[in-house]
Amino acid sequence: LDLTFSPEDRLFREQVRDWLDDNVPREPRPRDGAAMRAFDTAWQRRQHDAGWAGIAWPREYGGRGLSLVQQMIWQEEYARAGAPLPGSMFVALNHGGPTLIVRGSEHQKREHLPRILRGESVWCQGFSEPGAGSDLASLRARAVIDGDHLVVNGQKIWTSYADQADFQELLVRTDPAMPRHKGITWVICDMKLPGITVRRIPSMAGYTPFCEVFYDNVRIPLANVVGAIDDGWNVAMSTLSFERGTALICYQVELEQTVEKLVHLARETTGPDGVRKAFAHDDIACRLGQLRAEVAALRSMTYVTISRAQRQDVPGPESTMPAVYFGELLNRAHRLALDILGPVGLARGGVAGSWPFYYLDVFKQVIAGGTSEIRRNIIGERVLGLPR
Amino acid sequence: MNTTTEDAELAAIVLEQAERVFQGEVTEAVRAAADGGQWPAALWEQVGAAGLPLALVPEAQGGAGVGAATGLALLRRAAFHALPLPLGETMLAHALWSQAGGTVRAPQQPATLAASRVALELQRQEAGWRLSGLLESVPFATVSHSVLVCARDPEGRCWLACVPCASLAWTPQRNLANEPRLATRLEGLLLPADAVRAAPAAVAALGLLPHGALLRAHQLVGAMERCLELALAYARERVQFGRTISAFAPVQVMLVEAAGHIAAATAAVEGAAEAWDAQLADPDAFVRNVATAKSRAGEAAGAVAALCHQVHGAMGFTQEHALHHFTRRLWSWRDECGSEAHWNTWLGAAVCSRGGDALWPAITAN
Repeated sequence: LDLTFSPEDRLFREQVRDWLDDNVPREPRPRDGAAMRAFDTAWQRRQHDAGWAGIAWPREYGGRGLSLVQQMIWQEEYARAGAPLPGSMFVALNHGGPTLIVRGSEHQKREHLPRILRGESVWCQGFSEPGAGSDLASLRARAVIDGDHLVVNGQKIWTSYADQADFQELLVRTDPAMPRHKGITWVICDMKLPGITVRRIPSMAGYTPFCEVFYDNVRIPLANVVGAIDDGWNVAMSTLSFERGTALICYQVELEQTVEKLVHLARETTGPDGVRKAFAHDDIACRLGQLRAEVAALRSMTYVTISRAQRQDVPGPESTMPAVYFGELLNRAHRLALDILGPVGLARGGVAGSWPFYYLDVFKQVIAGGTSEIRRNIIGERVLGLPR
Repeated sequence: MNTTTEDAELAAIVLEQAERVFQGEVTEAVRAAADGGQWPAALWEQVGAAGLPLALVPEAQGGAGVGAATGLALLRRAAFHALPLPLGETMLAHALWSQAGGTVRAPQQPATLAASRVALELQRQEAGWRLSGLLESVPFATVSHSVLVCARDPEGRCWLACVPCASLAWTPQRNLANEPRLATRLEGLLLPADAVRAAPAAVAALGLLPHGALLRAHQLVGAMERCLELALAYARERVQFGRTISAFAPVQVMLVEAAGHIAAATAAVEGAAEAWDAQLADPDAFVRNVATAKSRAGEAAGAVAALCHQVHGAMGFTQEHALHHFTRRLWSWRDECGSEAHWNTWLGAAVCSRGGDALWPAITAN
């Protein structure tokens, strides 16, 4: 592990803390629709105007160009201040924007990057399809070149915030005859184009941002292709070279805060024996202690990953390990919440507050963005060197 | 189990009749409407017409007189279909009330029971009784004719009371599966003499909690069976990387693990069903068997729900796939009527109080 905080880093932390204390929105984030989008973009705009937008983006594209250590400090302070997660701005800031920075044309960069940083455009991802989830390379949404346009037909699914997005990073198959990972093109899709239909997918937890997107002869200018035609897989992978594991730190700090909330909950709530507080039950106390130890271990793993990433051009497969661990820890933490609450923890909209909603909601964490099984496969093949 | 040929024939007829109703009538639309808060009145009529609410009541008292094993098997099937009705609560309330010598007043309407570990307070009042205390998490109380509760008089004697639901102000609440669970506080509610009867021995020990736990344990097994069936079907049909995902070893391991949990839970709940018939003779054994069944089925439920969701991937997480009807019930039922922790603690205390010499005989008794 090679992570040290210099005097400048410490000063930086103080600046960040002061600014966040004064500027983090205190009103609750609307859960849905245009109000949610307005909240997310206004918060992005406020960060931008104070010079805090795009902390990981290079300075030449309007970003802050922070070192990995300073990015980490920002994320830690961000979560500690209770700042809202990026929400509908996540894909633009952490995926679409970074992809344009690495592979976009000058025109595409000028067109999109400043608007993202100013909170003027919301992006969504268009990767997964009904038949292409874990096996993304089997995607079939078809695009045919017609003059200076791509004509797209097909369907995408699990597209978070598609109903609120202005643009989409869309993967389409331009040459079905080529091998699976070739013949795919990465294109910027304007979500207001004719022929696009967006449908919300309600989840068992109630609200989630998931949507389905249908394309019926959607004409996208060829000028929107990022990288070359048929080279979209490489373009998509190059986004990963931008990600060093820092963007996920705020979710980890949030998990740490959840565990502290659980400790508090266990002190306040009568436990399973109906007499003593939950905290006084050995089983619950042990599980709280173990969770606290594990979130500390998770943080250490992330430090190691970031420390290693400082010395590499492309992050190694080791970064998959904290991701698997995080999803499973999150699930266990929310199970413990229900055990502490006892029977009232089952009541939706009751004294248990949002715990029952989150219990159902966090199940997606071991599936979304790569199931724990697929991630373990990656660890097996690329870290342990097991046969495919 | 000692069943005569006649009993076996009756059991087969009742189960077949029930299955026909469940299979034909419990559609996705019915489940979704109930999930949205609608009471499926027409479905209740059909279940009533098939005679199911009185299945456990002896023939002499107007019921079908099936044994507990058959009645609970029927309720496993109801849970397999996520029947959105208080059929189990009604069957048990009617059976217990008849067993205590009571007459079922409104056999066509749902009934429910307060499966709480806390007994209410009962006071004699001239020709009748006064009942006080808190009723919590009563299933389907607002659509039920009556709720069966356990109460104690000042001398500590235990009674069953059949309380009309309509006269009470209920605080509405729903569990994770959106099933109604309501609460109310009784402050000296006046009951006529024939609404209160001496409680059987098995109720005197822990109130109606073991009876609720027995019901939930059987429902857990039924819902788990459905989750596994859905997961198997999905794994055989979903293709990724050029193969059905059922061909991948990690997916197979998940399915087999789920099947193992279900097998163990089924054995435990069937054992408890047999102990039902002996509850008058040996109430301790009945509660012990129920504790084991609820604990084991609850443990299985958490694992099976997580495994089956994982096999389904993102699709199982949506309201468009049926899986959530069953998993949300699993997550609710495993914590209702005593969680794993509750019954494990009870069992541990019971075993310890009997001393080391009694441990091995107790384990090998069943």
